Amino acid sequence: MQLEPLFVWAAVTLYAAGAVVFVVGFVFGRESLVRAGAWVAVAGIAPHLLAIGVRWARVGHGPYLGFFEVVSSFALVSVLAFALLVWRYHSLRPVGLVLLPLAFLLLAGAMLAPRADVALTPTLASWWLTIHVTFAKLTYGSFMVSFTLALVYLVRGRAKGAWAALLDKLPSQAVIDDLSFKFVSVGFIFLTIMIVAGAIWANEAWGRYWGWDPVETWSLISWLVYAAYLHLRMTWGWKGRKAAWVAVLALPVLVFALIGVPLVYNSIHGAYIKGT
Amino acid sequence: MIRGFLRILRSPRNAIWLVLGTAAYSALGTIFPQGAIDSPKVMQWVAAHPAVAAVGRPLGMFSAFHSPVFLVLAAWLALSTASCAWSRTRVARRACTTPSVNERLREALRTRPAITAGPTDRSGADELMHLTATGLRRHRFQVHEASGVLVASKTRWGAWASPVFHWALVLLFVVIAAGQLTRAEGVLSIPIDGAVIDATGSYDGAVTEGPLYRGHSGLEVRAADLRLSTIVDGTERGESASIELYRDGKRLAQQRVYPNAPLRYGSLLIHPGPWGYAPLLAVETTSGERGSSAPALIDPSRSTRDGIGPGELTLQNQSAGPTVISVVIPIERRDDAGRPVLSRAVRLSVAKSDRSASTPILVAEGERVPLFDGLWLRFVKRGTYFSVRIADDWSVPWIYALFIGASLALVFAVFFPPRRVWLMVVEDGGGARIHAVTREQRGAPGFPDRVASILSEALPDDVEVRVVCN
Repeated sequence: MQLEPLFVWAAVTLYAAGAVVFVVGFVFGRESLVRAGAWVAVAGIAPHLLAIGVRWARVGHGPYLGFFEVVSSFALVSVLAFALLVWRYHSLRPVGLVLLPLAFLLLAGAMLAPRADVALTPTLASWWLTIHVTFAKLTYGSFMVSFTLALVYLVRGRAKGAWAALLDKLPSQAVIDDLSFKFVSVGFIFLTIMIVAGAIWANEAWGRYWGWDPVETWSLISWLVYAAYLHLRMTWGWKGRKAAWVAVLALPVLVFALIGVPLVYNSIHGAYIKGT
Repeated sequence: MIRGFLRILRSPRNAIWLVLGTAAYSALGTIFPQGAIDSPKVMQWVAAHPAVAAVGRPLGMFSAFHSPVFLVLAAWLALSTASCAWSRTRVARRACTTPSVNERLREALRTRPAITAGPTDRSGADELMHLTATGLRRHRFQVHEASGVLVASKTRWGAWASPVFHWALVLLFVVIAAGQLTRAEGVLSIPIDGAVIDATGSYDGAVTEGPLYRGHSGLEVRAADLRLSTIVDGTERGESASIELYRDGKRLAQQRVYPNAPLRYGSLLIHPGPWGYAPLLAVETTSGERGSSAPALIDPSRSTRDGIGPGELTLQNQSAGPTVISVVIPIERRDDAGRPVLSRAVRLSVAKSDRSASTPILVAEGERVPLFDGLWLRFVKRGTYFSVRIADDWSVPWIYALFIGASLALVFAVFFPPRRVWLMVVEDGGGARIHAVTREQRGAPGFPDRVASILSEALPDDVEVRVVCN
């Protein structure tokens, strides 16, 4: 019996159920449902980790080659980010309104893609790949949380009536704004390390640290966009709504750089998404 | 005019537009394949997208990241970052000096405190100030008194993080530019058990040399022990060879080179390239006296139905002029899997300067064929070669170091900003209170609460500590 599909189906079912129960509980103001939804979704982490582990043991490398592995791992990072954030800041549970459905959609989307095993080529066989990929996941997780917090900030700023009451338990807007900034800062540091690790690896493998390949260029573009956010925040003093809008608008650039570019362009980095 | 230019450079607004402009230009650059206009990749793309190519070509978008537009953007960004770094350095210097307690600060303490503690009688207030100072010291604040105001500061050195980050970026621009101007890169094909000198003439095809490149090392590069399959840590790494570097007969470095395991020596980084066949040919006299000898390099991927090659070798002869010898390794048969089994002999054809070409002759290893003027061409042995890509770039470790420095500085700028608290006893009709004004460089909303909790911890339980919403 193949265990990997079983674990993947268990994970996607728990994410879907968790997300639905969480959203329903939140909309109808049922605290018990919100709590249950969060627990069910977080429980999905276990089969998801097992699925990744089984696949890792079979193909001989971590979840970083091919659309299925990459997007599935981003789904896992989304739920892990939710779990860690809510564990640290209990009142930030409403971020699950974005992160939990997103995790389900990412894993479901990954399952629709071919799941062929992609072998590690001599160029990919490097410790720098592990460092590069680890920081790519951390970058995604940090920026996704900052995006969610910024979204919560913006929605709460305009919320009226029942929605305003539902969001009332959140920390103050100033704290959410500051947390969003902190996650952007951390994500920016991770993104820098990811780019540097990639450059070191490229130099080891190909003899050049930068080649203006579309994936490299788009990671630089993401870096510049988030650098602009930090500059606006730290030099111009942009806070609140303006900063939140920048954090929201910056995420699509990063997601495109991480997932979209290898699908759209012909890139020497294509293997990590296309698997060829 | 210079002042105007400096004002533009210092402007944070321009810096933002510059960063976003560079990002937008880079995004545009990714639409076009990057390379020489006559390269197959670019020509194919131009044929598929004639309308977009017609716009992009005159704008130099096929070498978007070497075009004057991009170089001007990058230079401007570097100057703007330097200007930003300079003003941040001045701010950091000011932040590190002991702040003067001026009337504006006193007014803020009197009328717009962030935290209040009390009320109590005046003598009690002095005691509370003493307890507060002790409490703040316990939380690693440096505390001193200036003109009746208690000044507590923490992580003052954090003010230097932002200038260090910006200066690291400026140096990064400088090092990358200097590295590009002084680097060289090219492919050397080395016969196995043979040697090639690292010099411009030895490289296959084009060798890229920066305009300020100081010249190749002149080292002797040797290759030995070619392996078509290399397993390291259980993973197939492909072809590899042992590469050795010599100067004046002394071995300086040696390493088996395969993907992700280049040989480093000084500023040289030696990567593996493709391997191939290198039949060794020697010119000799009728009596067998050996003249020059050289390998004819044959790329195994260039194969026809009945042979692999050709590899070409040009001989210079005073009477016959340049003579091109073409070498093909015939395919003897194919094995059960359809793979070619190569002959031990080679097929040679000689084309002289008058373009008269000889009929190809099959020559076995060790045999010779007549060439011209009583000279003979001997096929000495069917060897192999290993290509290495040699990059001579001193800037790479410095670029890594600067990036690490910039990242660390950013960590300190965000998580260890300078924090400062000013405290003063303010008397009113209801008694004396401690008023505090707080400042955290980043403006983190939790800082007044943090200071308030330190005061609550330090002061007696009956003293009310309140955070005031200003």
